[in-house]
Amino acid sequence: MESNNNHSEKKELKGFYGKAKISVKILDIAIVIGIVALFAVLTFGMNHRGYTVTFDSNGGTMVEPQKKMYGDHLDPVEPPTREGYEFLYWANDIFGNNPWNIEKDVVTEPLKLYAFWQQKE
Amino acid sequence: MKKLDELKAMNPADRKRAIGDLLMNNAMFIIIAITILYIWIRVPSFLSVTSIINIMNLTAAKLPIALGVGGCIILAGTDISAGRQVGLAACIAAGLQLTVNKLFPGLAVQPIPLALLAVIVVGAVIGLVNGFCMAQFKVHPFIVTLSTQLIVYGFILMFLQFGTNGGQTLSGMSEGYRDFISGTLFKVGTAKVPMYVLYSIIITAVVWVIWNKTAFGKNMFAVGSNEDAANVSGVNVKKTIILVFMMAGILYAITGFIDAARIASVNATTGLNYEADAIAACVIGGISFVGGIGKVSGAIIGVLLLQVIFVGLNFLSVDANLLYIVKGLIILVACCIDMRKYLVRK
Repeated sequence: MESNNNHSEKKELKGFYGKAKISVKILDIAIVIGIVALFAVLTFGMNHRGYTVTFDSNGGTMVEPQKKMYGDHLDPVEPPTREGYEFLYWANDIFGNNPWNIEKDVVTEPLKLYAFWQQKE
Repeated sequence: MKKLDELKAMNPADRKRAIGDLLMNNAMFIIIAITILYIWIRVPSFLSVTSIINIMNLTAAKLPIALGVGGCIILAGTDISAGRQVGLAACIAAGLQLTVNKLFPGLAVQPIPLALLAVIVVGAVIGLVNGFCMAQFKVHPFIVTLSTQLIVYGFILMFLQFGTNGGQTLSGMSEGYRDFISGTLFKVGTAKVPMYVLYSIIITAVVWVIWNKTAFGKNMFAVGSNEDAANVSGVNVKKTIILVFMMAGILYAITGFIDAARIASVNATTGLNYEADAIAACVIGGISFVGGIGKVSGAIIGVLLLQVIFVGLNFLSVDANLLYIVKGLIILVACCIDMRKYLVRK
Protein backbone atom coordinates (compact mmCIF):
# COMPACT_ATOMS: atom_id res chain seq x y z
CA MET A 1 0.00 0.00 0.00
CA GLU A 2 1.62 3.21 -1.15
CA SER A 3 1.04 6.24 1.00
CA ASN A 4 0.50 9.52 -0.83
CA ASN A 5 0.30 11.60 2.34
CA ASN A 6 2.98 14.18 2.79
CA HIS A 7 2.87 15.14 6.46
CA SER A 8 5.00 18.26 5.90
CA GLU A 9 2.65 19.74 3.32
CA LYS A 10 0.34 22.49 4.59
CA LYS A 11 -3.33 21.77 3.94
CA GLU A 12 -6.44 23.84 4.39
CA LEU A 13 -8.87 23.12 7.18
CA LYS A 14 -12.59 23.85 7.17
CA GLY A 15 -15.56 24.18 9.49
CA PHE A 16 -15.07 25.94 12.83
CA TYR A 17 -11.31 25.91 12.29
CA GLY A 18 -11.80 28.34 9.40
CA LYS A 19 -9.49 28.17 6.41
CA ALA A 20 -6.30 27.87 8.43
CA LYS A 21 -3.44 26.14 6.63
CA ILE A 22 -1.37 23.80 8.72
CA SER A 23 0.67 20.65 8.21
CA VAL A 24 0.29 17.32 9.96
CA LYS A 25 3.88 17.62 11.13
CA ILE A 26 3.18 20.88 12.98
CA LEU A 27 0.08 19.35 14.54
CA ASP A 28 2.15 16.36 15.67
CA ILE A 29 4.55 18.73 17.40
CA ALA A 30 1.63 20.61 18.99
CA ILE A 31 0.08 17.33 20.21
CA VAL A 32 3.36 16.18 21.77
CA ILE A 33 3.89 19.59 23.45
CA GLY A 34 0.29 19.51 24.72
CA ILE A 35 0.72 16.02 26.16
CA VAL A 36 4.02 16.95 27.83
CA ALA A 37 2.35 20.07 29.32
CA LEU A 38 -0.60 17.96 30.49
CA PHE A 39 1.67 15.50 32.29
CA ALA A 40 3.74 18.37 33.73
CA VAL A 41 0.58 19.93 35.20
CA LEU A 42 -0.56 16.58 36.58
CA THR A 43 2.89 15.96 38.08
CA PHE A 44 2.80 19.41 39.68
CA GLY A 45 -0.66 18.59 41.03
CA MET A 46 0.58 15.28 42.45
CA ASN A 47 3.47 17.03 44.19
CA HIS A 48 1.14 19.59 45.79
CA ARG A 49 -1.69 17.32 46.79
CA GLY A 50 -4.15 17.99 49.55
CA TYR A 51 -7.23 20.05 50.27
CA THR A 52 -7.03 23.03 52.58
CA VAL A 53 -9.71 23.24 55.22
CA THR A 54 -10.16 26.73 56.62
CA PHE A 55 -12.21 27.84 59.58
CA ASP A 56 -14.23 31.05 59.76
CA SER A 57 -14.90 31.48 63.45
CA ASN A 58 -17.41 34.30 62.87
CA GLY A 59 -15.91 36.68 65.43
CA GLY A 60 -14.49 33.95 67.68
CA THR A 61 -10.88 32.99 68.34
CA MET A 62 -8.87 31.94 65.32
CA VAL A 63 -8.65 28.28 64.32
CA GLU A 64 -5.64 27.10 62.31
CA PRO A 65 -6.33 25.73 58.80
CA GLN A 66 -5.63 22.05 58.10
CA LYS A 67 -4.38 20.32 54.98
CA LYS A 68 -6.09 16.98 54.33
CA MET A 69 -6.25 14.28 51.68
CA TYR A 70 -9.44 12.99 50.06
CA GLY A 71 -11.32 10.81 52.54
CA ASP A 72 -9.45 12.06 55.65
CA HIS A 73 -11.15 13.08 58.87
CA LEU A 74 -10.25 16.46 60.33
CA ASP A 75 -7.89 16.63 63.29
CA PRO A 76 -9.73 17.43 66.54
CA VAL A 77 -10.44 21.14 66.72
CA GLU A 78 -10.52 23.08 69.98
CA PRO A 79 -13.91 24.91 69.92
CA PRO A 80 -13.35 28.65 69.43
CA THR A 81 -14.45 31.10 72.08
CA ARG A 82 -16.25 34.42 71.73
CA GLU A 83 -17.18 36.83 74.49
CA GLY A 84 -20.86 36.75 75.30
CA TYR A 85 -21.53 33.77 73.01
CA GLU A 86 -21.59 30.02 73.33
CA PHE A 87 -20.18 27.94 70.47
CA LEU A 88 -22.78 25.67 68.87
CA TYR A 89 -21.29 23.86 65.85
CA TRP A 90 -19.30 24.07 62.62
CA ALA A 91 -21.13 24.08 59.29
CA ASN A 92 -19.89 24.02 55.69
CA ASP A 93 -22.30 26.72 54.51
CA ILE A 94 -22.84 30.28 55.64
CA PHE A 95 -26.44 29.59 56.63
CA GLY A 96 -25.55 26.72 58.95
CA ASN A 97 -27.80 24.25 57.13
CA ASN A 98 -25.10 21.59 56.83
CA PRO A 99 -23.47 21.04 60.22
CA TRP A 100 -20.02 19.42 60.04
CA ASN A 101 -19.30 16.51 62.34
CA ILE A 102 -15.56 16.77 63.02
CA GLU A 103 -15.27 13.11 64.06
CA LYS A 104 -17.41 11.51 61.37
CA ASP A 105 -17.44 13.66 58.21
CA VAL A 106 -14.63 13.24 55.69
CA VAL A 107 -12.96 15.78 53.46
CA THR A 108 -13.63 15.33 49.73
CA GLU A 109 -12.80 18.84 48.45
CA PRO A 110 -11.40 22.20 49.60
CA LEU A 111 -13.55 23.25 52.51
CA LYS A 112 -14.46 26.29 54.56
CA LEU A 113 -16.22 25.73 57.86
CA TYR A 114 -18.21 28.45 59.60
CA ALA A 115 -18.71 28.68 63.36
CA PHE A 116 -22.24 29.13 64.68
CA TRP A 117 -22.93 30.76 68.03
CA GLN A 118 -25.69 31.30 70.52
CA GLN A 119 -25.81 34.49 72.57
CA LYS A 120 -25.41 33.81 76.30
CA GLU A 121 -28.38 34.73 78.52
CA MET B 1 -7.04 -8.68 11.94
CA LYS B 2 -7.54 -7.19 8.46
CA LYS B 3 -5.77 -4.00 9.56
CA LEU B 4 -2.95 -6.06 11.04
CA ASP B 5 -2.51 -7.90 7.73
CA GLU B 6 -2.54 -4.58 5.87
CA LEU B 7 0.11 -3.30 8.26
CA LYS B 8 2.29 -6.36 7.66
CA ALA B 9 1.98 -5.95 3.89
CA MET B 10 3.30 -2.37 4.00
CA ASN B 11 6.91 -1.41 3.35
CA PRO B 12 8.81 -0.36 6.53
CA ALA B 13 8.46 3.42 5.90
CA ASP B 14 4.70 3.24 5.36
CA ARG B 15 4.31 0.89 8.33
CA LYS B 16 6.17 3.34 10.56
CA ARG B 17 3.94 6.16 9.35
CA ALA B 18 0.74 4.09 9.81
CA ILE B 19 1.72 3.21 13.38
CA GLY B 20 2.59 6.86 14.02
CA ASP B 21 -0.82 7.94 12.69
CA LEU B 22 -2.57 5.33 14.83
CA LEU B 23 -0.77 6.53 17.97
CA MET B 24 -1.29 10.22 17.22
CA ASN B 25 -4.96 9.86 16.28
CA ASN B 26 -5.66 7.95 19.48
CA ALA B 27 -3.29 9.95 21.69
CA MET B 28 -6.10 11.33 23.85
CA PHE B 29 -7.49 7.88 24.62
CA ILE B 30 -3.98 6.61 25.39
CA ILE B 31 -3.31 9.49 27.81
CA ILE B 32 -6.65 9.00 29.53
CA ALA B 33 -6.10 5.23 29.83
CA ILE B 34 -2.64 5.79 31.36
CA THR B 35 -4.05 8.40 33.76
CA ILE B 36 -6.91 6.09 34.85
CA LEU B 37 -4.49 3.21 35.36
CA TYR B 38 -2.17 5.42 37.41
CA ILE B 39 -5.01 6.73 39.60
CA TRP B 40 -6.33 3.20 40.09
CA ILE B 41 -2.88 1.97 41.22
CA ARG B 42 -2.49 4.91 43.64
CA VAL B 43 -6.05 4.75 45.00
CA PRO B 44 -7.64 1.31 44.36
CA SER B 45 -10.98 2.49 45.79
CA PHE B 46 -11.23 4.79 42.76
CA LEU B 47 -12.73 1.90 40.80
CA SER B 48 -14.92 0.58 43.63
CA VAL B 49 -18.63 0.01 42.93
CA THR B 50 -19.60 3.17 44.81
CA SER B 51 -17.12 5.25 42.86
CA ILE B 52 -18.16 3.77 39.50
CA ILE B 53 -21.82 4.47 40.28
CA ASN B 54 -20.86 8.03 41.26
CA ILE B 55 -19.03 8.48 37.94
CA MET B 56 -22.05 7.11 36.05
CA ASN B 57 -24.38 9.48 37.90
CA LEU B 58 -22.17 12.48 37.09
CA THR B 59 -21.96 11.36 33.46
CA ALA B 60 -25.76 11.14 33.27
CA ALA B 61 -26.10 14.65 34.72
CA LYS B 62 -23.68 16.17 32.18
CA LEU B 63 -24.80 14.20 29.13
CA PRO B 64 -27.76 16.34 27.96
CA ILE B 65 -25.65 19.53 27.74
CA ALA B 66 -22.91 17.64 25.87
CA LEU B 67 -25.46 16.35 23.35
CA GLY B 68 -26.76 19.91 22.87
CA VAL B 69 -23.29 21.31 22.29
CA GLY B 70 -22.51 18.27 20.11
CA GLY B 71 -25.27 19.24 17.69
CA CYS B 72 -23.86 22.77 17.41
CA ILE B 73 -20.35 21.40 16.78
CA ILE B 74 -21.66 19.06 14.06
CA LEU B 75 -22.95 22.24 12.35
CA ALA B 76 -19.30 23.40 12.40
CA GLY B 77 -20.26 25.84 15.13
CA THR B 78 -20.19 25.97 18.89
CA ASP B 79 -22.24 27.33 21.78
CA ILE B 80 -20.44 29.06 24.60
CA SER B 81 -23.71 30.22 26.16
CA ALA B 82 -24.59 26.63 27.14
CA GLY B 83 -23.43 26.87 30.75
CA ARG B 84 -25.27 30.10 31.45
CA GLN B 85 -28.41 28.69 29.85
CA VAL B 86 -28.14 25.75 32.26
CA GLY B 87 -27.82 28.27 35.11
CA LEU B 88 -30.90 30.23 34.02
CA ALA B 89 -32.97 27.05 33.67
CA ALA B 90 -31.83 25.93 37.13
CA CYS B 91 -32.82 29.33 38.60
CA ILE B 92 -36.27 29.22 36.98
CA ALA B 93 -36.89 25.60 38.00
CA ALA B 94 -35.79 26.33 41.57
CA GLY B 95 -37.82 29.54 41.63
CA LEU B 96 -40.98 27.60 40.84
CA GLN B 97 -40.23 24.84 43.32
CA LEU B 98 -39.23 26.76 46.47
CA THR B 99 -41.19 25.88 49.58
CA VAL B 100 -40.54 29.35 51.03
CA ASN B 101 -40.39 31.55 47.98
CA LYS B 102 -38.44 34.79 48.42
CA LEU B 103 -38.33 35.42 44.67
CA PHE B 104 -42.10 35.47 44.27
CA PRO B 105 -43.42 35.88 47.83
CA GLY B 106 -46.68 34.02 48.29
CA LEU B 107 -46.22 31.79 45.25
CA ALA B 108 -46.90 28.16 46.10
CA VAL B 109 -44.86 25.25 44.77
CA GLN B 110 -45.83 24.81 41.12
CA PRO B 111 -46.55 21.44 39.45
CA ILE B 112 -43.36 19.76 38.20
CA PRO B 113 -44.56 19.51 34.55
CA LEU B 114 -45.23 23.27 34.57
CA ALA B 115 -41.71 24.01 35.83
CA LEU B 116 -40.25 21.66 33.21
CA LEU B 117 -42.33 23.26 30.46
CA ALA B 118 -41.28 26.75 31.59
CA VAL B 119 -37.56 25.97 31.39
CA ILE B 120 -37.97 24.16 28.06
CA VAL B 121 -39.78 27.17 26.56
CA VAL B 122 -37.08 29.56 27.82
CA GLY B 123 -34.31 27.25 26.50
CA ALA B 124 -36.02 26.93 23.11
CA VAL B 125 -36.45 30.71 22.81
CA ILE B 126 -32.76 31.37 23.58
CA GLY B 127 -31.84 28.64 21.08
CA LEU B 128 -34.13 30.27 18.54
CA VAL B 129 -32.37 33.62 18.99
CA ASN B 130 -28.93 31.98 18.68
CA GLY B 131 -29.92 29.94 15.64
CA PHE B 132 -31.75 32.79 13.91
CA CYS B 133 -28.80 35.20 14.21
CA MET B 134 -26.48 32.59 12.74
CA ALA B 135 -28.80 31.35 10.01
CA GLN B 136 -30.19 34.71 8.92
CA PHE B 137 -27.23 37.07 9.35
CA LYS B 138 -24.38 34.53 9.07
CA VAL B 139 -22.85 35.88 12.27
CA HIS B 140 -20.07 33.67 13.63
CA PRO B 141 -21.39 31.27 16.32
CA PHE B 142 -18.71 32.46 18.75
CA ILE B 143 -19.94 36.07 18.60
CA VAL B 144 -23.64 35.20 18.82
CA THR B 145 -23.28 32.78 21.73
CA LEU B 146 -20.82 35.07 23.55
CA SER B 147 -23.52 37.75 23.41
CA THR B 148 -26.25 35.41 24.62
CA GLN B 149 -23.94 34.12 27.34
CA LEU B 150 -23.60 37.62 28.78
CA ILE B 151 -27.26 38.49 28.26
CA VAL B 152 -28.40 35.28 29.96
CA TYR B 153 -25.99 35.92 32.85
CA GLY B 154 -27.55 39.35 33.27
CA PHE B 155 -30.99 37.74 33.39
CA ILE B 156 -29.78 35.27 36.04
CA LEU B 157 -28.42 38.06 38.26
CA MET B 158 -31.65 40.06 37.86
CA PHE B 159 -33.80 36.99 38.46
CA LEU B 160 -31.98 36.28 41.73
CA GLN B 161 -32.73 39.86 42.87
CA PHE B 162 -36.48 39.36 42.48
CA GLY B 163 -38.74 39.82 45.52
CA THR B 164 -36.87 39.81 48.79
CA ASN B 165 -34.22 37.30 47.68
CA GLY B 166 -31.51 39.93 47.19
CA GLY B 167 -29.30 37.74 45.02
CA GLN B 168 -29.02 34.94 47.57
CA THR B 169 -28.60 31.25 46.81
CA LEU B 170 -31.89 29.45 46.17
CA SER B 171 -32.35 26.40 48.39
CA GLY B 172 -35.22 24.59 50.06
CA MET B 173 -36.91 23.15 46.99
CA SER B 174 -40.02 20.98 47.30
CA GLU B 175 -39.57 17.36 48.30
CA GLY B 176 -41.62 16.20 45.31
CA TYR B 177 -39.24 17.92 42.88
CA ARG B 178 -36.13 16.61 44.63
CA ASP B 179 -37.58 13.09 44.68
CA PHE B 180 -38.56 13.34 41.02
CA ILE B 181 -34.94 14.09 40.10
CA SER B 182 -32.76 12.65 42.86
CA GLY B 183 -35.06 9.95 44.24
CA THR B 184 -33.67 6.41 44.22
CA LEU B 185 -34.10 4.53 40.96
CA PHE B 186 -32.32 1.47 42.36
CA LYS B 187 -29.36 0.66 44.56
CA VAL B 188 -26.16 -1.25 43.91
CA GLY B 189 -24.95 -2.21 47.39
CA THR B 190 -25.00 1.07 49.24
CA ALA B 191 -24.57 3.17 46.10
CA LYS B 192 -27.69 4.94 44.93
CA VAL B 193 -28.62 5.37 41.29
CA PRO B 194 -30.90 8.40 41.12
CA MET B 195 -33.93 8.94 38.89
CA TYR B 196 -32.16 11.45 36.67
CA VAL B 197 -29.99 8.64 35.27
CA LEU B 198 -33.15 7.18 33.74
CA TYR B 199 -34.14 10.58 32.31
CA SER B 200 -30.67 10.99 30.87
CA ILE B 201 -30.88 7.57 29.18
CA ILE B 202 -34.28 8.48 27.68
CA ILE B 203 -32.97 11.86 26.45
CA THR B 204 -29.90 10.20 24.92
CA ALA B 205 -32.10 7.65 23.12
CA VAL B 206 -34.32 10.44 21.76
CA VAL B 207 -31.28 12.42 20.56
CA TRP B 208 -29.85 9.26 18.93
CA VAL B 209 -33.11 8.77 17.01
CA ILE B 210 -33.18 12.44 15.97
CA TRP B 211 -29.56 12.41 14.81
CA ASN B 212 -29.68 9.07 13.01
CA LYS B 213 -33.22 8.27 11.95
CA THR B 214 -34.86 11.55 10.99
CA ALA B 215 -34.59 13.81 7.95
CA PHE B 216 -33.73 16.68 10.30
CA GLY B 217 -30.77 14.71 11.70
CA LYS B 218 -29.47 13.90 8.23
CA ASN B 219 -29.88 17.56 7.24
CA MET B 220 -27.88 18.59 10.32
CA PHE B 221 -24.93 16.44 9.22
CA ALA B 222 -25.30 17.63 5.62
CA VAL B 223 -25.28 21.32 6.62
CA GLY B 224 -22.30 20.77 8.93
CA SER B 225 -20.39 18.91 6.26
CA ASN B 226 -20.97 21.36 3.42
CA GLU B 227 -23.56 24.10 3.75
CA ASP B 228 -23.55 25.07 0.06
CA ALA B 229 -23.90 21.47 -1.13
CA ALA B 230 -26.75 20.92 1.36
CA ASN B 231 -28.48 24.04 0.07
CA VAL B 232 -28.15 22.88 -3.54
CA SER B 233 -29.56 19.47 -2.54
CA GLY B 234 -32.72 21.14 -1.30
CA VAL B 235 -31.99 21.19 2.43
CA ASN B 236 -33.54 24.15 4.23
CA VAL B 237 -30.27 25.31 5.78
CA LYS B 238 -31.72 28.18 7.84
CA LYS B 239 -34.43 26.02 9.34
CA THR B 240 -31.92 23.28 10.15
CA ILE B 241 -29.52 25.66 11.93
CA ILE B 242 -32.36 27.22 13.94
CA LEU B 243 -33.77 23.82 14.93
CA VAL B 244 -30.36 22.49 16.00
CA PHE B 245 -29.84 25.48 18.30
CA MET B 246 -33.39 25.20 19.63
CA MET B 247 -32.82 21.54 20.39
CA ALA B 248 -29.57 22.47 22.11
CA GLY B 249 -31.41 25.13 24.17
CA ILE B 250 -33.96 22.52 25.27
CA LEU B 251 -31.19 20.09 26.25
CA TYR B 252 -29.44 22.80 28.31
CA ALA B 253 -32.78 23.60 29.96
CA ILE B 254 -33.23 19.95 30.93
CA THR B 255 -29.68 19.89 32.31
CA GLY B 256 -30.54 22.95 34.45
CA PHE B 257 -33.82 21.39 35.54
CA ILE B 258 -31.93 18.30 36.70
CA ASP B 259 -29.05 20.25 38.28
CA ALA B 260 -31.26 22.46 40.45
CA ALA B 261 -32.65 19.42 42.29
CA ARG B 262 -29.44 17.38 42.07
CA ILE B 263 -27.30 20.03 43.76
CA ALA B 264 -30.26 21.32 45.82
CA SER B 265 -28.96 24.87 45.76
CA VAL B 266 -28.82 27.33 42.88
CA ASN B 267 -26.95 30.61 42.57
CA ALA B 268 -25.36 32.83 39.94
CA THR B 269 -22.44 30.42 39.50
CA THR B 270 -24.64 27.41 38.66
CA GLY B 271 -23.69 26.17 35.20
CA LEU B 272 -20.50 28.24 35.10
CA ASN B 273 -18.03 26.77 32.56
CA TYR B 274 -20.24 23.77 31.85
CA GLU B 275 -19.81 24.52 28.15
CA ALA B 276 -16.06 23.98 28.46
CA ASP B 277 -16.61 20.46 29.83
CA ALA B 278 -19.23 19.76 27.18
CA ILE B 279 -17.01 20.97 24.33
CA ALA B 280 -14.05 18.98 25.68
CA ALA B 281 -16.22 15.86 25.99
CA CYS B 282 -17.50 16.20 22.42
CA VAL B 283 -14.06 16.72 20.89
CA ILE B 284 -12.60 13.80 22.88
CA GLY B 285 -15.52 11.69 21.67
CA GLY B 286 -14.80 12.44 18.02
CA ILE B 287 -17.43 15.12 17.33
CA SER B 288 -15.39 17.21 14.96
CA PHE B 289 -15.12 20.99 14.67
CA VAL B 290 -14.59 20.34 10.98
CA GLY B 291 -18.35 19.83 10.83
CA GLY B 292 -20.65 17.02 9.79
CA ILE B 293 -18.86 14.38 11.86
CA GLY B 294 -19.97 12.94 15.20
CA LYS B 295 -21.92 10.26 16.99
CA VAL B 296 -24.07 10.17 20.11
CA SER B 297 -21.85 7.36 21.39
CA GLY B 298 -18.86 9.71 21.00
CA ALA B 299 -20.48 12.28 23.28
CA ILE B 300 -21.24 9.56 25.85
CA ILE B 301 -17.65 8.28 25.78
CA GLY B 302 -16.28 11.83 25.97
CA VAL B 303 -18.41 12.80 28.99
CA LEU B 304 -17.65 9.50 30.72
CA LEU B 305 -13.88 9.78 30.21
CA LEU B 306 -13.82 13.38 31.43
CA GLN B 307 -15.78 12.47 34.55
CA VAL B 308 -13.48 9.52 35.22
CA ILE B 309 -10.48 11.85 35.04
CA PHE B 310 -12.08 14.54 37.24
CA VAL B 311 -13.28 12.07 39.88
CA GLY B 312 -9.91 10.34 39.79
CA LEU B 313 -7.99 13.58 40.32
CA ASN B 314 -10.39 14.38 43.15
CA PHE B 315 -9.53 11.00 44.73
CA LEU B 316 -5.86 11.96 44.46
CA SER B 317 -6.65 15.27 46.24
CA VAL B 318 -5.28 17.26 43.31
CA ASP B 319 -6.01 20.98 43.64
CA ALA B 320 -9.36 21.74 41.97
CA ASN B 321 -7.87 24.92 40.45
CA LEU B 322 -5.49 22.80 38.38
CA LEU B 323 -8.47 21.11 36.74
CA TYR B 324 -9.06 24.25 34.67
CA ILE B 325 -5.55 24.00 33.24
CA VAL B 326 -6.06 20.28 32.64
CA LYS B 327 -9.38 20.94 30.86
CA GLY B 328 -7.81 23.66 28.69
CA LEU B 329 -4.94 21.40 27.67
CA ILE B 330 -7.31 18.51 26.98
CA ILE B 331 -9.38 20.71 24.63
CA LEU B 332 -6.21 21.94 22.90
CA VAL B 333 -4.75 18.46 22.37
CA ALA B 334 -8.15 17.01 21.36
CA CYS B 335 -8.62 19.77 18.75
CA CYS B 336 -5.11 19.20 17.35
CA ILE B 337 -5.90 15.49 17.04
CA ASP B 338 -9.24 16.35 15.43
CA MET B 339 -7.51 18.60 12.85
CA ARG B 340 -4.84 15.97 12.24
CA LYS B 341 -7.42 13.27 11.53
CA TYR B 342 -9.09 15.54 8.98
CA LEU B 343 -5.83 16.47 7.25
CA VAL B 344 -4.60 12.86 7.08
CA ARG B 345 -7.92 11.80 5.52
CA LYS B 346 -7.84 14.69 3.04
